[in-house]
Amino acid sequence: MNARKNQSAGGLALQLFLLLLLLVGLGALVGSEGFAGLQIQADFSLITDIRLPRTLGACLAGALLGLAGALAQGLFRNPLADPYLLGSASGASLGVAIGMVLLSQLNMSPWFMRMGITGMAFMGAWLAVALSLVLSWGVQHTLRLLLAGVVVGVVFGAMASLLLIMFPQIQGSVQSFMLGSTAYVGWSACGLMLAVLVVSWLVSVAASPLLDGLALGESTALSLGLPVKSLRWLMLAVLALCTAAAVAQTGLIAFVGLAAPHLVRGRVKAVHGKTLSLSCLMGAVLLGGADLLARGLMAPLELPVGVLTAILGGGYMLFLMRGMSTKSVGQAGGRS
Amino acid sequence: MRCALRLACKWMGGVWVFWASLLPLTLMAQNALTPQASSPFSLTDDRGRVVVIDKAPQRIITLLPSLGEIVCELQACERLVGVDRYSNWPERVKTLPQLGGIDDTHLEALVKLKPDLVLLARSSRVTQRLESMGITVVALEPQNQEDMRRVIQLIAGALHLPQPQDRALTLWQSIQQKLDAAALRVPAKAKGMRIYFEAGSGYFAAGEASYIGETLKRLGLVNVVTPSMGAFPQVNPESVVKANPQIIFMGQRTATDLKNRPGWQRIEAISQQRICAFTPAQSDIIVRSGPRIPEAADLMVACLKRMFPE
Amino acid sequence: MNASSKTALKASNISVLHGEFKAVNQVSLELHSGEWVALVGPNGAGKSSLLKALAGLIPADGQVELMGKPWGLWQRRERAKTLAWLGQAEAGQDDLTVYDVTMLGRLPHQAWLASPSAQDRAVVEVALKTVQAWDWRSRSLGQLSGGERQRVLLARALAVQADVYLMDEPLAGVDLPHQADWLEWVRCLTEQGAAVVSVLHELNLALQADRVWVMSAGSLVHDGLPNSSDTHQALSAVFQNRLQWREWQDGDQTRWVALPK
Repeated sequence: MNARKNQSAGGLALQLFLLLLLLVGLGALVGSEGFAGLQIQADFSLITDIRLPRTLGACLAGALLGLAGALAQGLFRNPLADPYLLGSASGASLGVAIGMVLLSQLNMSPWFMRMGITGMAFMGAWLAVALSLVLSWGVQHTLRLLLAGVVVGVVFGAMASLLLIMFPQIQGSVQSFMLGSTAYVGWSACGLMLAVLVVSWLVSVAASPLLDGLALGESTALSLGLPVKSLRWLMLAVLALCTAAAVAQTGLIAFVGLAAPHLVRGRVKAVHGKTLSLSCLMGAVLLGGADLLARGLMAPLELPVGVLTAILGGGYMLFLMRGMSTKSVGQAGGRS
Repeated sequence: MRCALRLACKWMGGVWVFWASLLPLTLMAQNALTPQASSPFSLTDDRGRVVVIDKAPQRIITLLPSLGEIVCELQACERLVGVDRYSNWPERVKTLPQLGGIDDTHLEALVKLKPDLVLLARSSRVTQRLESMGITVVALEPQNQEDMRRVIQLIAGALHLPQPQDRALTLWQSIQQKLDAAALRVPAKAKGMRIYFEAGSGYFAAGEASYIGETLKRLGLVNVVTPSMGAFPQVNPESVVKANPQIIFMGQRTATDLKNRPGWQRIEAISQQRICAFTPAQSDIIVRSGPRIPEAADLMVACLKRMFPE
Repeated sequence: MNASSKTALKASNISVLHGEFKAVNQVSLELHSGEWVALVGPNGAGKSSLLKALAGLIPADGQVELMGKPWGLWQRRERAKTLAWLGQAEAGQDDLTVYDVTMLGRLPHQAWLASPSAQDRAVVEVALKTVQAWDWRSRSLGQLSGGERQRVLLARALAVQADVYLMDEPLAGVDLPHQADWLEWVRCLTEQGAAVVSVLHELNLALQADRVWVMSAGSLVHDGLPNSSDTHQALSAVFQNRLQWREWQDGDQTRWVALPK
């Protein structure tokens, strides 16, 4: 009997947590001089005002995206699902585009002033998901929901493109938003994301038996007495909230939501209650590390953090996949 | 002898009184000469936000080239400590640390410079973050000449310059005078001709409502893109063919395949070879909506002169 | 096969509509505790739909009584403890371990988010040992073959310790020796008093059941004993007379085998 030795959930959690502490520590030290300036500066306010909130913000956004990705993959039983699959990416882009257009008008209404571009991105992402849910109302099948998400994504994306053509001066800003950046996260943004993360994590873990049941099929989940319909709406709402909160602060950062759950599942086989939390940690480490590299590698220039998450996450996934292919499939000790 | 002493004391006392009375006068004179902490200047910037500037800012950062140029033209150039990556005039600015563009400003480098005033564009991404750290931020983005006049006045006041209104007016008038002078040098044959100004690839034109358009109008040219179409609209190429401009201004890079555009061979400007292709360095000056508009006008006039040699 | 056993499941006039198409048309039946019924019929006869309707997984017209109590009066959790469903293996995330999958069968018995109790663990151990999957309980589902996976899913259903088991094609991909094992496991269940309904494609396995329900085109056309000639005639009829029957002696019992013609 040679069952593959999978890592325990607790072991991975500890590893990731230590890594996270290391990242936060490094984040306080890496600044505009890059890794060369790795000493505690005389100007302590730089660390507390800029570097710490930025590092923590990147970790929090990564945690939100990791959680959202794990939820999406569990709810839709699709390993290619990512947090943006219900149109939230296009919704956020549209929100930002509208916000930029309003910004260019001199008479701005006070509600917009208070909301700002981040608020518009949040609203846009949320509205897109809500619209997808409304369009697929009453239909039990998740495929219809996915299709609605695709439709909403495409339509909102087209509307954003229309705005870009009509107001070409906003093209640069919207494009940089699409690329994603962790550079401007402050303490208030960190607070917001932390609040959303705590609430979302609690609710998700509480509802995680649904995901376990769904993994065996919707019929089985129903027969096990799970309130599938209501729990599914709840988890979709949490998914939308997490994605919108992350996107509002850091823009569209690709790959973290897709890769974090995969990376967790590659190392640990456990029920969703544990893998959801691990995806949070993994996402935090992924984005925190990418942020560190983004500002440290070519300081004072900043690399786009989305590129680095793709390299980090994609590279590790390739490594895991190579490990998987060397083992023969279906190597069962008990097969007669 | 005592009499002499008493006289001397009186005289000394008198001298003292004399000098003492001079003291407040000298102080008042000093007040009049140095720009000291006068009343705080409050302005409403382009975001609609009211910003109060208590005293003259000594460490200024600008993240929009036109704003930096205005500061320098108002004789406060030595107060600049940082600019964005696109600022390159005047010479002093080239030695200043560059802090990125509109969307990727280097936050930490900026904060390290300890500015007491940051001037930036309305759409800058870093505005909120800077304000949350307690840095005074003023967002201004001149879109046309009237805007520019207002912005120059606001900046002059924000800098706490002595007689800011006068300084602003002087700068404005000098800009206008140079524009008028450039307009005079336009060849007579070119006056009244229809012009199409392509500001960006993909048929983005500079219409009459833009600041480029205003300059063109000042030079006596008629823009085929009317004000109703907006400042920088993306036009239907067919409408350009229909309007049949007699002169075309555009950047060098996109000018090479002009003849290959479907139907454009019929345009008078192309058949008559009246095309101005500006080099990237020249385009850089022309798209600035700052106090160097006269320089842009000069470049345009020089090209027109080559087109219509007298 | 107790004559005096109580009614585990009673269905009256069940109809299932898929859009315009009537998948199940006014079916009434009764299932007793301790009996194993095989539900057979040609493809598209509505067997799966009927079974799902009985399990309450799809909307249907008609009335169902579970253990004598109308369906509507059952609390969701109590019902989940009483009726277990075993469907065909669906494509899901194969990352749960065999043990965790089996433990999911205990969900109806656990308080929400409670850790597994000692009893839960004991039941899971028994279930896994029954299907001979205990040795590889740490493997993930994705590492198993189809037949092995099916056995684990059965263990999951066994862990529910229900009174009624509804199984839809439970033997897909299971090899012959394990089919024989499966027969034993079902016998075990019925001896303990549970009622089992299985939709089976394997006709000869179905003929080993206590009773046979024959469905065709949405209706229940026959309900009888597997060895009776009426049942054989009904089966031949629904399979377009392409069956031939052979007798064989199983000890002192006469059994029948259906072969394709």
